[in-house]
Amino acid sequence: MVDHVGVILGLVAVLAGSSLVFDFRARRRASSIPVKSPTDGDNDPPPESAAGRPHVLVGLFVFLLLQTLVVLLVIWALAFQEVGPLPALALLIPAGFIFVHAWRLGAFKW
Amino acid sequence: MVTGTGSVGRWIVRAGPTWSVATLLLAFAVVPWTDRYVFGDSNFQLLPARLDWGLLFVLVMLTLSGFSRSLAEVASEDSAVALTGMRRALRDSVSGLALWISLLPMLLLYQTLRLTEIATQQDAVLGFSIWGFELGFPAWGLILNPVAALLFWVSAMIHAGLPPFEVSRVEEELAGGRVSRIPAPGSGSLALADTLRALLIAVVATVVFLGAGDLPWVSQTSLTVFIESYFGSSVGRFLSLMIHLLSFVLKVTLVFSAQRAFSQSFGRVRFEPILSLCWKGLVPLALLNCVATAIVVAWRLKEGA
Repeated sequence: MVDHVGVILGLVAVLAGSSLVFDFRARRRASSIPVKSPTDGDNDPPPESAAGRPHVLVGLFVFLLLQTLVVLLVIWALAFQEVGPLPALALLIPAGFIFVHAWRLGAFKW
Repeated sequence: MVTGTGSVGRWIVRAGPTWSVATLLLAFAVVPWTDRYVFGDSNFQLLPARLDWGLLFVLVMLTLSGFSRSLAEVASEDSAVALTGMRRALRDSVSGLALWISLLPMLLLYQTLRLTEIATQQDAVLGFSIWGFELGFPAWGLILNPVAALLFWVSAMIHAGLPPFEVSRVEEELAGGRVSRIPAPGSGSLALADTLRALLIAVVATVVFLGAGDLPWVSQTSLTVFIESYFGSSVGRFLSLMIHLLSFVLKVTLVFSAQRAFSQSFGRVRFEPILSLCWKGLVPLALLNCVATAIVVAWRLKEGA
């Protein structure tokens, strides 16, 4: 189990990294979309697209990240007496940061 | 979106309710209704299938049952039913995450996925003394980690789609309008699946948090020895087996009734608050509970070493 901690950390880093990169790109794309002012002719808000609402896809990434983590955490929990709490904390701390970041971004707002 | 216009879609719509029931029936096969008893040269245990990963199997079957139903609804030609199916799939995904994380502390404590072993480990008394008085509690999961029990219960009710967390027909009811009946094929099977799902959750909660058929403060061995002293070996063991089976059924009935009472006590909840509850309440709380339990267990292991 301990030998695989590096692989697990790599997996989490890839998932977390892709989530953050996607978030950054989606924000840039959203900022480049011109927003209509109410004086432009109609009072309807501009149509929302996935690029304009990055939080939905960030939420999806966080879900996939946590789902992967749960599988690893089940294995960790079963081998807890041999490996101790540190491997899980190494997984949970970055996941916690990502979770809080996604929360602040509004990814869990429904 | 997948729609049921093709033959595959129609087949999925027809088969979905049956899959939903079949997966749940399979899950019941790994439930240890009694502990092991020796009669003469043979062992007896009311356990149809012994699996090393019984808890994993039960939860996976529970999830598969929900997704079978969602798939059947999404493949329906009725757009209202398809929308309900998509909502159900989303709700099941997030609540499934909360369900798994809520059970992690119990895996830390029990160190096994075998349901029989989980039940056996709870057949003990946690003894301690306060001001010279010797006290003891049953070593049930509910006593060891009540937060995990509460989180599991709520997550499981959402995951199983029990009222008030059901997503079909909610909009009409909340709007105060006519309760429209959404036509769904295999509605009898779906109703059966709903009841089986609620029953399965009650069974899992009983095994993981209420010590299965264990009686509080009385271990299986001591009860069996006590009865054997009056009725002899075989009859004594048989009576002990029946008492534990009755205890298990009684606990399951209590949990099942509590679910029903909870369902009747609260009004229907919309789809959005259910997802918010999962993401903002159950998942972070379950993660915190997991970390706290890991710290306590590590500290206890260090003290014991």
